[in-house]
Amino acid sequence: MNKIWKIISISALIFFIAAISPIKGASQDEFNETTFASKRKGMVNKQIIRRGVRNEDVIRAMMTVPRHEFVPKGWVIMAYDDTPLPIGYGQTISQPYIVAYMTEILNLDKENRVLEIGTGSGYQAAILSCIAKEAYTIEIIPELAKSASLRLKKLGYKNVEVTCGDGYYGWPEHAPFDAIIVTAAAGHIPPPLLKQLKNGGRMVIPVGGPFMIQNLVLVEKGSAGKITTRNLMSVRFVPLTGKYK
Amino acid sequence: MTSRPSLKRTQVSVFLISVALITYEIILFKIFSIQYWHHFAYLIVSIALLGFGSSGAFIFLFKTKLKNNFSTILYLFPLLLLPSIWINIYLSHVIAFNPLMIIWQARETLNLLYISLAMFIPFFLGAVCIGLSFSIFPENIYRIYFSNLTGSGIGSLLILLTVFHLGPYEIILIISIITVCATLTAASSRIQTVVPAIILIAIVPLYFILLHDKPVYMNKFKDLSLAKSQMGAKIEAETFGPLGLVTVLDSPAYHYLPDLSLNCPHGLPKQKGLFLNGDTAGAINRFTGDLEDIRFMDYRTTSLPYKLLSDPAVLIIGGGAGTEVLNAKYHTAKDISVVEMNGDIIRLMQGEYRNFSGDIYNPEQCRIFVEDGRGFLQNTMRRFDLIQISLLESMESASAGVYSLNENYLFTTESLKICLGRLNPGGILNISRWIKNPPRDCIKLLATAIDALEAKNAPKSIIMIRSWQTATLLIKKGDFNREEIETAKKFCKSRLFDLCYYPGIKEEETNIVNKLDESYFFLAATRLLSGEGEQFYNEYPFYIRPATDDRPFFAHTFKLAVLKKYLGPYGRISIPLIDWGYILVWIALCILVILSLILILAPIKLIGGSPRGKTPVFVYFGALGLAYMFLEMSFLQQFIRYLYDPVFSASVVIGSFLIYSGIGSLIAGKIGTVKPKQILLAIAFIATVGIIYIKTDHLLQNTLSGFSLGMRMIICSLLIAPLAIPMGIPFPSGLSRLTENREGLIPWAWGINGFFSVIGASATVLIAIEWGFKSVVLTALVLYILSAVIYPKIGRD
Repeated sequence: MNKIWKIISISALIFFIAAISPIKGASQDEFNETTFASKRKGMVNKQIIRRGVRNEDVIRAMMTVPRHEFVPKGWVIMAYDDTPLPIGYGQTISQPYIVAYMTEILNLDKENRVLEIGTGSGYQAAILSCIAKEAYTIEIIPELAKSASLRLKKLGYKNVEVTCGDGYYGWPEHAPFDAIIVTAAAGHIPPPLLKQLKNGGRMVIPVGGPFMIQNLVLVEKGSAGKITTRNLMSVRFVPLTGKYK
Repeated sequence: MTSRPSLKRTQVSVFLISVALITYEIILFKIFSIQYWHHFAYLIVSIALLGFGSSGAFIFLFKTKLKNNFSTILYLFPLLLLPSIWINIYLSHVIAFNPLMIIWQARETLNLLYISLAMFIPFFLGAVCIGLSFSIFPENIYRIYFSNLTGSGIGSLLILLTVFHLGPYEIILIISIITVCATLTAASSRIQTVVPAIILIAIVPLYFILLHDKPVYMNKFKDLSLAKSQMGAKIEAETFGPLGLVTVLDSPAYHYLPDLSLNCPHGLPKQKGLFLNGDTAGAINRFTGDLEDIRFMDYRTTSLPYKLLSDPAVLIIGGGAGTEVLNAKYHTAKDISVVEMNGDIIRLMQGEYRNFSGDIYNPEQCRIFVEDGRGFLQNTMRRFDLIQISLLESMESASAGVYSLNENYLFTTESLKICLGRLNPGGILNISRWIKNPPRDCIKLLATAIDALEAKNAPKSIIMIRSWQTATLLIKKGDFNREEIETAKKFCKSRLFDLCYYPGIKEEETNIVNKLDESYFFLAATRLLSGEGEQFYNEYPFYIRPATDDRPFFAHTFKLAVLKKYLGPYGRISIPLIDWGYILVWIALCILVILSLILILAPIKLIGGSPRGKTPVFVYFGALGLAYMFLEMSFLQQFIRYLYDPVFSASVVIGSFLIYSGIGSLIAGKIGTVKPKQILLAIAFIATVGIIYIKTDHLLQNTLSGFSLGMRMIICSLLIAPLAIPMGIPFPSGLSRLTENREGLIPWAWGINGFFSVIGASATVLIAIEWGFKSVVLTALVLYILSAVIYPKIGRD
């Protein structure tokens, strides 16, 4: 009995000390571009390819874009982890897999013009710009729009245009779009966006809250303008065997 | 060492500290619901108990020193209590605890630990003063007890009276003044009087500088925080009332109508966001009175019943910002009744937003009932052609499982039966919910509805349709006829909605426009309606058994099997499938166990050693700790049904339990040495009352619904008395029995009881989710019986 008490007391003490001690992790300075590149490679292999993303353009973009440049300083060491991260103003940068999967769904090619609603840190826009001809992105939080614009410029993404505004109305001056990605929470699918989507175009909407993208809804506009939607994510991560049928 | 304060001074001090502690405990419920989400009640109660439990260990550990410095302690600790509360407010800004991220980042668990520790300190400081007073005046223990209990009672009352008029920080100011007064009472010299007097004078200006008009810190990921940061957004109106913080946000980017058709040709009018405690509660639509401006109403899944009924008399449960009232107006309902429990929302809609909203809450145009939906349904004699239950919470909160631990007495089998009973023949009950993927709560709603309908009627009385993100369930009092089914089909086809179920549907008619990877709803409906419910509940990957009044956790859909997906090859991608609220309770419970081990049991182990024959003492006091908290927390959760809000319920239940069990303890004190037979009698009484309560629970609902809120509070408090008075007897009796010849075990008894009380408060919700509140009450009764059996053994060497 005494032994058990000792074990409990020691573990409790360790827990307590760990809890009240400041967390000391690797600092940003301890990383360099080579480490980041290696982390990025690990991220693509473990989180993206292994989970079934096959589109080569997407994989190349994910391998190229320096995700650590798009997360706040305090989170840089976790930039390539399998997690969404806060970027301020109640917004998040999505989990790498979600970014890759959404981009793959859009089925983009080098001639496409793509619109993103909800720029955030600009990471998704950077990925899109690596694949499509032109990427347009709208952010409603002025501070985020400004910082994303500067960041994308600094990193040399020339085919991306950032504006601050209400994405609900889309960007009619550059419409129609081959693809639209709505990463900001929407109370409903804005009708103006449907209008700005080309016939045969695709729109993807992640549904759910911050940190909890629960489902990806793909809106397809047929060649005759007929609209259908498809819910995608559950196919991927809940292999329901049909046992309950 | 200064002279010992007199008994009277000590009593006043204990009284004031008790008022401050209970008020602080209950206002934390409110602050937490704004800062984070609504279901931290168990955590707050556990932490308060941790404070009390560890204070016992602390007193035992430093008994002599503390006794010698009693006057200093009684003077200093309440003075420290004041900054500890204010520092807590500051820490809530600094420690950015984000519950949504807890399953992604381990550091959030540490943040929860920091917050728990910070919250624990005020309770610890206050409890040391109270506990030490008992030790100093053993001959007048009942007087101290009296002060402690009346303080708790007055504190509960204080909250109930002030919460209608004051904001949380104003209540914190009152608590601060009370704690300084407690210090003043204990001051024994002029200099000791001067310091608190200066603080007392300084406290109000300090409040105005630091806290007045400052919003309660809100998690950055709450809906309001997000909406507020958008371009051009500004808060237009904010009011803090008994049911929480109501906010109206004006933002050019606010557009909210979740069940709108994808091919709606009409634009939405200007909208303003309505938020309750920072969560989305709908949108106020601009309405000029011209129905042409709101033609989009015809393109919503919620509008289907209007195509099946002509000029219906409509009841809207959860009026909120009035979208459903507008919908009823658009569809020329002949009579509109609205039930909205939050009077502040109604006042805003009838006041500042009267013109903007087109005066839709004009009492001449619709009947407005400021009441809880369930209570209204229970009480009303009126009958309706259509009852609409609005979709109020946001997808963001729903998808994260934020509400998974919230009791919801509107979506239970019993409640839906009452709804059906309030319909005219041929009337329709209409409920909309968000669709999660794979579907969970919508399937649970379907299961609950089928459970509420008589088996033979169910297959012909249900139609379910869905848009790309919401599902709408129609339950008819009677059978849907062919014509109505055709209307529903046309309605869906022209608006890009999908049919999920109608009497006679075939699978190929489902899942056409908004494709899910399977026809979940059709499959669920056909299996549930073909009598395979039990098998289906077991096989479905989520928990979709009907919610009942005993297990009112409608949003709880967690099954262990889903957690296994997280451990499987897809790992973290499956996190959104897990109700984090449920996981959070387990994490909190682990933290509390560790903290209790460190702060309660470890110190006792240090001084108490390991005396022989302690097992019966462990069992007795452990069982009492668990049983007491099981009953108290069950009542707290269950009485939300009658008292609307956790704050009301906590005030009435915690206050009543403290007062009545205190009376029980006083009775035990008067008896002196309580014999085993007397304990048996008390516990038999507890068991009988407990069983009567379980058996007559449903009658209580019917009886109470007719009374005003104030009367309900009084009745609820009185109902607790027969149970809580005898519950106050076993603990002091056990301690008194130990004093006879096993005094060395008293610290252990105290510590074990404290430890299990902390665990019990959090464990209640977990047991209730799995087995229902009645099971929690029954477990408590069994534990009481066990303690009665053990009682004769605890005094034996």
